[in-house]
Amino acid sequence: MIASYRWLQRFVPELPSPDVVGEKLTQLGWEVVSKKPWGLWYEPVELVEITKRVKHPHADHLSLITVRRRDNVLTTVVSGASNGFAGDRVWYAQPGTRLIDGRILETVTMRGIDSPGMLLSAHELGFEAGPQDLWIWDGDQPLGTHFLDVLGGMDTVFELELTPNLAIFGQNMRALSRELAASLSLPWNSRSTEFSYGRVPMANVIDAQACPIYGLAEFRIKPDAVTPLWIQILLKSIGQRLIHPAVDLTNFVLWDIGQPLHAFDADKVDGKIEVRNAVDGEVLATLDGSERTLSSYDLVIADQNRALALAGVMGGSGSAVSLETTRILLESAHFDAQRIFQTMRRHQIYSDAALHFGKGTDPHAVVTAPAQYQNLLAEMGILEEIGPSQMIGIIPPSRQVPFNPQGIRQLLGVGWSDERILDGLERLGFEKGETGIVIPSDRHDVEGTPDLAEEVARLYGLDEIEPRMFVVSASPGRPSTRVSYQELIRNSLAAAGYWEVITRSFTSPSRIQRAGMRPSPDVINVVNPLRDEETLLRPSLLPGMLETLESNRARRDISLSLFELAPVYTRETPDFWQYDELTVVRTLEARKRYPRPDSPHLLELKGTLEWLNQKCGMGLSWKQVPSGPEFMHPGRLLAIYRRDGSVVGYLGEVRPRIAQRYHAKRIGVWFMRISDDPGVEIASRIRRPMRYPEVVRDLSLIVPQGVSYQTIWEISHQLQSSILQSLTPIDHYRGDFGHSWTFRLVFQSEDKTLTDEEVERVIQQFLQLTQDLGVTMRQ
Amino acid sequence: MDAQRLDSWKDEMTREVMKAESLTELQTVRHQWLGRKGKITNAMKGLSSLSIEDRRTVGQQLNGIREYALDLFAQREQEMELQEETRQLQEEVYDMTLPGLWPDVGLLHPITRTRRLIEDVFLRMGFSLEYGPEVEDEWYNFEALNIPADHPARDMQDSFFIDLPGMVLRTHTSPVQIRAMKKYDGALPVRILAPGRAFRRDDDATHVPMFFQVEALVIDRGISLADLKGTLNIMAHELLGDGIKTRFRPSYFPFTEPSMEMDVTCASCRGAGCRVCKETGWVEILGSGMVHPQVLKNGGYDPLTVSGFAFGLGIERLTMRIFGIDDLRLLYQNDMEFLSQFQPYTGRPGL
Ligand SMILES: [Zn+2]
Repeated sequence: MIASYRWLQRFVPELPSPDVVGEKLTQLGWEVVSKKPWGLWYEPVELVEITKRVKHPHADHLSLITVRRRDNVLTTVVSGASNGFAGDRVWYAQPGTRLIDGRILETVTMRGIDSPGMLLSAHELGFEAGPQDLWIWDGDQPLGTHFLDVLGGMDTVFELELTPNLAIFGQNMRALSRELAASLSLPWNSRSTEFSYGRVPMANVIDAQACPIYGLAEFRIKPDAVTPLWIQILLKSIGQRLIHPAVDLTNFVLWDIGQPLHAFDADKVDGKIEVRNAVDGEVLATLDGSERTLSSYDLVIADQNRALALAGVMGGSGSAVSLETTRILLESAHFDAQRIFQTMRRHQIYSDAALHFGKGTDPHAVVTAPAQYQNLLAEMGILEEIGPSQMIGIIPPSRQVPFNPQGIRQLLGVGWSDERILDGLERLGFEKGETGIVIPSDRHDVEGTPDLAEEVARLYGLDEIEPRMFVVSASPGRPSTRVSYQELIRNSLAAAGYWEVITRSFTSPSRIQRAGMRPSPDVINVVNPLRDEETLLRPSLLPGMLETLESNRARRDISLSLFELAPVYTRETPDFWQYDELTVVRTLEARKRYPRPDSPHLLELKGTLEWLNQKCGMGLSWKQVPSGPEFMHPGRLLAIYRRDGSVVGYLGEVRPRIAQRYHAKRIGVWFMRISDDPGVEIASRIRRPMRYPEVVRDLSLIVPQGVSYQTIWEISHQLQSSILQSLTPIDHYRGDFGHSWTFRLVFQSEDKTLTDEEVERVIQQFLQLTQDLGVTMRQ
Repeated sequence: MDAQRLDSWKDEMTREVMKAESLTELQTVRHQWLGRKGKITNAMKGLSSLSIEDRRTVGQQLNGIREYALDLFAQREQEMELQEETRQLQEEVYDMTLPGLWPDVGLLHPITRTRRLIEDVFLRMGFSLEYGPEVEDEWYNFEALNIPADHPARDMQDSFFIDLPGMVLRTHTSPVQIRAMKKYDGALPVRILAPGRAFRRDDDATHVPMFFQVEALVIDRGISLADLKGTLNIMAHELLGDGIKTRFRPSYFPFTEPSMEMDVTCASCRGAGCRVCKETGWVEILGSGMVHPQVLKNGGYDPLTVSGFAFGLGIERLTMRIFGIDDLRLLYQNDMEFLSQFQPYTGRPGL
């Protein structure tokens, strides 16, 4: 909403400077988006008198008009105007003036004669002054008077952002000025008088719920009138278009007191007015030039033949007033806000009327608005007769809420006296009534003590409330166990060298397919996605993670180790449609580097799983499997199991064919569901350091194809040796004889220094058992 | 063999030791003095030819010289060994101006770090952390929070709807207020902080369709707007530094009454006024208010006996403020070059 400082002064003549007004508005909760001077471009335009008018020697339709400016300076300009003769006073703009349409005036040569500047029409100044070319001015200002001074000097316009509660009552200068007057303790001129409706049956209200109050009044006027300049100025300053007087006046009343009025041309209305629901399929040509097909949800104003207007939203072109109109049928109504709001949304007509009615209007304005309209017609001298009128429905009695100053003090945490609270409320238009506080008729937003508390807090300013701190118990707050556990996983992975990323929860079938995955029927689709790539809620983090690799490697060749722990979504579980997944991705390509290359290995990813499982007590186990998800490399795949034996995820490589789609030759991935309940209670088992020296033996073995490390490791466990501490692969090569593995066996005893014989005995047992697998010592 | 001559031996020996340039030369000198036929050894042998009296005095003198010699040679030997080692090591010269190999450390996303910073402030104030589902029941997301059916937030323009009837992607973390109240089941005090994702149909430099919020709710007897202001001031100082100023403006949210927004000093101009803050010197940081009586009722609390406050804070906005970023979307592009800039110390050990 745009507010004009000059307009506000109508209600509060003693208004302080625009800067103070801006600050006060902010304090009161009106967000000031901008504050700008208005009228600057009128400054160079000055009043001149025509002294001579002769025909242009080379053009029939042009004249040379000589004007006298301040200090008897004479200037001659070329003009095509049909009016403007010696003795007329007109408005002149000299070269360099910026016109309201943005043009900058220059001295132009017209048919061989220079024309320095321009004589202006009302239209060129942005105003309406009836059917005349040049604006012949009949005011008595001295020559040289600036047009801006005629306007009353510069104005300041505020662009305001209204919160929904303020929009209920505040989209007009009257309410805005009431707030300012209250907070500045200045007198406020409410300027309201009441129209006395007659009792002529002119209308029927069929749907009284949608239209509780309906007023109609006929005014007979002289045609061809011009809207008073002061109203034109105010409407222009808040960015309103001038249309013609009957409409300009309704517009003025709308922004002045917040009541949308509608003027019908009474001669275009056939019989009694009906306020009824539209018939499904009924067609109405609205004033914006569109044909609207209505439904029974829409409320219309109709005559005996047809719908005339979409009630509270927009009039129809068939009954519109024009310059020739002599009988105005003025509608002043009160509608159900919800109904109007819905119609506005359904038809996407965000008219000023709908934006007011749709928020809720002051029912009392049904009576005051026509009075104001009538007064303006009278002021213009065009009101010939007040015709018949009628009001259907009754103005509801004012509402009261209990006055609970203690409740207000408690809610705000202040010590303000009853008197101070009441005084503030009264300044805002509330009154002390018999049973409580009487709420002004336009304040539908006020319902109880919290609202009254807000009113006084706004009025006196939130700065007046001294901050304090509620008493906090000595015990600190608690994070949730589940989330703390997830945070531990995050911290651990970051410590292990992985970077956390956060990807969007949305994906699409094609993005899922690109990752080699199949879209599941359990995905949750977004009904109104923002774009085609985000049509569903991700069932897996993997596509997004691979895309993150891709976007990072599109411009530079870097190795990446990323993880995300975040929800994925599925409709498979009723009542709770998300669970947390951990996904880790790592590019597996050697990168040249001095002094040694950086060559990440899939076993490092596995190592991270082993380490994390131990560090976070995850209770997981894993097994190499020959197949799993289709997008995974079948030769390098581990299935990951929870304690209960169910598969929770996989670790391995994505198929290189798929990896290539994301700008990588090899990508290691590990994805798994994170259980909601860590539920792991691990007793800490800390041993003393071993005091006796360890014995190290390296064994080079030829291992047949198909015998895994796991098998050999299990054999070392079958020995049940208390001194064999570990068996680790330290070297491998492949020859014509098969695989050669060098294992390092470490022996150590808790209670003595081991002898060679003791170590040798275990080694022999180990070799004997592995012999059955075809394992032999390398010579 | 008189005492004076023996005294001059020390000087003579020292001179010779200092003259030796290598360990070999030093050995030669040592031999000349302490070897089997060295000067000192010989003199010791000659003692027997002296009178008993002289034998004692000269003997003592010789012993002193011998100890002096042993020390002298040992010390010099050590010095020369060290010099020799140094010379050898200098041949192992390495170009230490080569770049170092950085440790392979990971990094938490700046959003995670900012979220934890906020959580930490409130955990210390006695708040507990609560969570709710992202695929949320419309009742929790709208009705329970007093958001009527015709509210713009319920429009397809603003919220993501999904093909689960009655469900919506939560548009804020506020539904956790209701869930927490139901969980606390009338117990007091309620003092919770709810971090999490939320979704809105917006995408520009200051809005992303998926974002993170932190919701706070306090319910107890006698909680007032003054408590809310106090809490928010503490939070602003903890998160943005002691120099930060705050300003409160009335606002509107369907689920609070009265409602207010908190502004903090503009980071770009420090309050002087600039383009970022539309010349006001302030930037909005969060919305807050006293819990609406109807919302208290919806959560099972009696507005006549208890009151509460709530506020919601955008984590991105705070991250942008703390780290100095002007485009929100950068945070979710996961560009490593961009994210790596979040590594250096910011002067906040907790971040
Ligand atoms: Zn600024």
